[in-house]
Amino acid sequence: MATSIGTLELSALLTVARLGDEAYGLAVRHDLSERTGRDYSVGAIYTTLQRLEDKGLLTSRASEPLPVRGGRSRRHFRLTGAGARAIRDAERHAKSMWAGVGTSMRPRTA
Amino acid sequence: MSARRLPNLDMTRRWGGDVPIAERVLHSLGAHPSFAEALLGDLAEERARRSKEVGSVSAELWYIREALRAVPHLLLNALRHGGAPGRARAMVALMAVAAVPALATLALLRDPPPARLVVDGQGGGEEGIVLNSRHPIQLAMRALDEEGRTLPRAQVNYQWVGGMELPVTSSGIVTCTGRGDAEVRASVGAVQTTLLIRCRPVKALYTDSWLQLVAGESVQRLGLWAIGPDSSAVTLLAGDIHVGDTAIAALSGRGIRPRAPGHTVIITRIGDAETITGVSVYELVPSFEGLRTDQRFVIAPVRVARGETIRWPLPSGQFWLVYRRASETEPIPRLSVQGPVMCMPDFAPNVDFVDCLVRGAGASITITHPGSTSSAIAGRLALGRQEDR
Repeated sequence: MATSIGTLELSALLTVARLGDEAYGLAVRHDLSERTGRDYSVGAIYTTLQRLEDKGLLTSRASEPLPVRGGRSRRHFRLTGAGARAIRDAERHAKSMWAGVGTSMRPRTA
Repeated sequence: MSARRLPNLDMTRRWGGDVPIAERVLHSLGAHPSFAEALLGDLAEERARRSKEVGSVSAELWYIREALRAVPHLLLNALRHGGAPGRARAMVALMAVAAVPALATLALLRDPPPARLVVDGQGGGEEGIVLNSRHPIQLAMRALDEEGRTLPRAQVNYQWVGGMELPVTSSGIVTCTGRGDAEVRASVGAVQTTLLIRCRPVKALYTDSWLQLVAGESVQRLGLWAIGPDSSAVTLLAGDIHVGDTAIAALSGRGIRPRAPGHTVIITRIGDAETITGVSVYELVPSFEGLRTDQRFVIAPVRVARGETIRWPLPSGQFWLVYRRASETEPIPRLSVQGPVMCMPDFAPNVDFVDCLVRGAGASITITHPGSTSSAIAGRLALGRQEDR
């Protein structure tokens, strides 16, 4: 049975997938905010990433401590296999839901 | 790395004097260390970037805002992933957060200590509080602080201490069952005062039924008589007198000052009793000749010598006529009406008040010396027109 994920979780998963090795909290927040036009708090992003990790859709690793972060590490995230499946399931689900809807209602593709 | 795994940094060691207090507070909320470290690291990194790009003040403001927005997420993480110690710290933090508004509310609600007690609208002072009611009355006292501000939540306690026996509850409800004076102590905290309660119950109240005044003339005292349960007169009274239309008449002490022609009422309340007095204020005119329709309340001087008769026209419509003697010893002249007019009761010797209806032009009134005395008699004839129907 597919893991249930919300809109923000899916957006975060996609962002992590898009950013690849650069996917850590601040970068995810920047990317999400730019794409959605919403001002997500750092706390909200980490809570979402943490939840995705708890669901097994992401893994994380700590970088070397960085001076710019006051000697703290970045926490980089990466999709797991389950995370990639969740994205594909979500896409399939979206396509299924859009099927039969008039072209004027369809989202434009780039 | 799992989120539940401890970070490789020793935060305790890094918490020197240069760690901002905001970070210490955020760390103390009990979130899992890896979560808190990553979040705080992002905040620090973004602050550094913003400080270079938009200036340190703007960067600090952003940091404070984001730190505040991070608090619920750190608490949530503490409850979910912080283990027993983290949950305990989160609960302490939540209670502290809840305690701030609660303590602030308590501080706002808490009255300063009372400095004195004052009687609220019931007289008091050396004359004491006069009570004319025969029913239970709430003594009304207010506690004030040193700056004279009312302390609305101060609970005043009352106790009978001397004089006439007077039932009084601790909340200050007294019942005057008879005439007499009693002493009641009122206290709130360390402040106390002794009140002189003067019970003068009133069984019946009487006032003048109709005051007839002339605009611009002097104040007339309102006749007022109060009778106690023992049928004796009560002279110590406390109550209120209300004038219906103060454009027509106004209170002036215990008197009524006529201001403008018209008719109004005065309501007098003392204890449980209430009376109504009609007040007519007339405009002084030389005679009833040439009255305008807007002259509804007029009074004209009358002076007739022996053998003399005065005739004045009467306006159409409904009105009352009142003859007012200059003194109690003056006789009343003979009054009669002529033309299309009907008055009730009929004019007769010593009748000085009638209601009349004039149904057309040509009605008049004659005022004739009664012949009972050789001297001229003087008085005033008043006319009060009722509203047109």
